[in-house]
Amino acid sequence: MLMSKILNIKTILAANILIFAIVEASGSYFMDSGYIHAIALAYIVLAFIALAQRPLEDVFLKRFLSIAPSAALLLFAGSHSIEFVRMKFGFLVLPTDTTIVNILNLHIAGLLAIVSAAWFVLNAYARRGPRYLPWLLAAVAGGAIVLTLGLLATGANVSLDPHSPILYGYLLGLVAVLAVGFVALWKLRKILPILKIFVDYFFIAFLFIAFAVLTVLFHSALQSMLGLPDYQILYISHFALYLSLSFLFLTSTRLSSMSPLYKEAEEFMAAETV
Amino acid sequence: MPIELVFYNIYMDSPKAILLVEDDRFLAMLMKSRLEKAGFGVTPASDGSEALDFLKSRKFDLLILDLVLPQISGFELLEHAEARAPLAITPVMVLSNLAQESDAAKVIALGVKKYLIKSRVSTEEVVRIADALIGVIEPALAGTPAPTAGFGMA
Repeated sequence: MLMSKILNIKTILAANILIFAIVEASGSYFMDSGYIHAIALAYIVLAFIALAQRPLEDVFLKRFLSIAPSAALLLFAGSHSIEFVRMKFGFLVLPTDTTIVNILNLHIAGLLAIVSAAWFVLNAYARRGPRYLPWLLAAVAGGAIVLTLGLLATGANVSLDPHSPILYGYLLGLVAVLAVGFVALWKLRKILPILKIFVDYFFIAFLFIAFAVLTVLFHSALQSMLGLPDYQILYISHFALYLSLSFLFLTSTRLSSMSPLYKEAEEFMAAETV
Repeated sequence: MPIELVFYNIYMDSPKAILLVEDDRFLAMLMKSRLEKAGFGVTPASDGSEALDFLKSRKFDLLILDLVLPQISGFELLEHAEARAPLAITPVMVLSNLAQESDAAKVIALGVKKYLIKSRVSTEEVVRIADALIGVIEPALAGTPAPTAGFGMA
């Protein structure tokens, strides 16, 4: 609760701007040292702590509000841990495009975990909608994780050059995930007023993470079209990720503040655990 | 003392019994605590199936029901053949996150006395409405007018 009071939208945005300024001022240092990934891991830890503090224990809602975001954070943490280890210690070195595909897979799998849970809740509450969709989305997320493990084990070369169908396959996949995700979030917002502000923050987090994934996906095009150095593209994608995780953190304070009942539940549980 | 009077005294000393069907354990603990503090006896059930078992085994003065529940949902419970007899004599207050009027209309048509949306009420309001619906032996919040069936806030 104290953390939520200190870390409000203003202080979090100010902290983000400060971090961006420090990283940018250092040139390529944060990429070369791998610390850009270490910062991502710190944000993930912060978001985890926020998730653990949610006052909501509803059997259905907690899959969307706690379990799925936790799974997504674990996948993001996995991706950035691999990157940090690679940059800092020279382990798990793979061809550049294979590394990018692994990053994409784990981040898209994280998004899919959240979207799958959103549809699961929607099916339960609205009592309509395709029953198979949450399972299909979860299966695709599982496939992306298996593919990543396979690529890590074999080190196979994957091409993401502008003529590669894989690049457009990922783009289509990402657009599909975003579309399915936005429909679910929009419907949830409509039928569950308790989630209204939460979903608004979630939308922003979702957009930032999609932007981060797109930046990684089109890094070659960004390099050639805008003439940006490699480290700058990495920084842009990570800044988007940091903002996404910041908004995910802020969602934790949105539930209790909008409902007297959940506010009471939060205070009651805090008093019980003292 | 005549046996009728003994039973009468036992009855009068017993708090009014509420079956609280809520799958969110934090909310269930909070509601149970607040209702007990107001003088009600509260039996918690975490899903529709458990609630049905309780309804078949004993009499309750009020059912506070969440709608989206594991096993048997609140909607299914209200329509369940085995719950019909106990629910015919037990007033029902729904406390749900669902805010669509169609959901409220559906359960009110099934005999629900009051439909409350979780994001718009406090425990104080829930206790006040429970008291107005069935009252307590030692009224903590006397004087509240009895609510009519309705949708939305208290």
